Amino acid sequence: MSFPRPNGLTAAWLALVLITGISVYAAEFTPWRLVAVGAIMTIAAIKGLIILWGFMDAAAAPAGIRGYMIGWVIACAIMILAAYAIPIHLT
Amino acid sequence: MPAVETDLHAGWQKPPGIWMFIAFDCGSFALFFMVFMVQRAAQLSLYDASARLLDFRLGLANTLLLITSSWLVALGNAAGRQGDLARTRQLLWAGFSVASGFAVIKGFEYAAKLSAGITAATNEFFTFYFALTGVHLLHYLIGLTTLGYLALRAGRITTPLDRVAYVRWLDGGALFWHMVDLLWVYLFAMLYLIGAR
Repeated sequence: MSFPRPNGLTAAWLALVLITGISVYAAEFTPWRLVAVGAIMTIAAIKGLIILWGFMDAAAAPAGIRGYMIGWVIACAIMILAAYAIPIHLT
Repeated sequence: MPAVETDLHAGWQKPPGIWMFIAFDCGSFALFFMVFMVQRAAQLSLYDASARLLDFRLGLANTLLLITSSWLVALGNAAGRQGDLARTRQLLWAGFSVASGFAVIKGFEYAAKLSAGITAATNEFFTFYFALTGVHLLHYLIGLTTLGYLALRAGRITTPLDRVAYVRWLDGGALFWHMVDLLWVYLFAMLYLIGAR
């Protein structure tokens, strides 16, 4: 396993900056809140995966920890989105 | 010396101990996120009105500072793995400097809230806001101190054996710093963005 190359790290950083901008745009300018929050949490999960893979080099982590961390990133985003959406549908 | 060099450049794995800590810490934060969102569901209007009192531009600035700092630290970690500790030291100090802006902005944000009469006792949203960002700030301070220490140490490595030990500490310190960045991704989304308008 080799450490991520500087070019790969820079690509990860640029991607993180770009999609952070998109999530702020979605939060501010998307008229449908549920769509906006869906976009915000999807982008949060993508950012989490980029940090895990690009910066933390999760590929070099023990397999169990790697699976747990990927699950954590995705589960947190789904949980926050679901907890946002469910009360809207109940009211 | 050749044996040490071989060890440094051989296939490697991040230290499992720090990964265990990160897994536990992230699990704890996931519970905090869940409690926040469940409580929010019970008082939607209060939480949304309170969230609108936060300035998302400050949260955005802090996000960009942490992302950039994480990138510089990752570059420093890569340079360390390649044995270029002078470059590691430069990049760690660069990461440290950029990351310091986070504390400045967070201090400004806390001061603005307190001067407006908003404290942790104002309502439940702000209890969570100060608690979650406060615990994160504690992680940030530990991470920043570690970065400073690693940057100082990088200039004092004299033997190949020291270098191997240093790179292991560098791996662990960098991982911790990236976790601070990772946790902020969710705090920014949950506190600043989903109730932004």
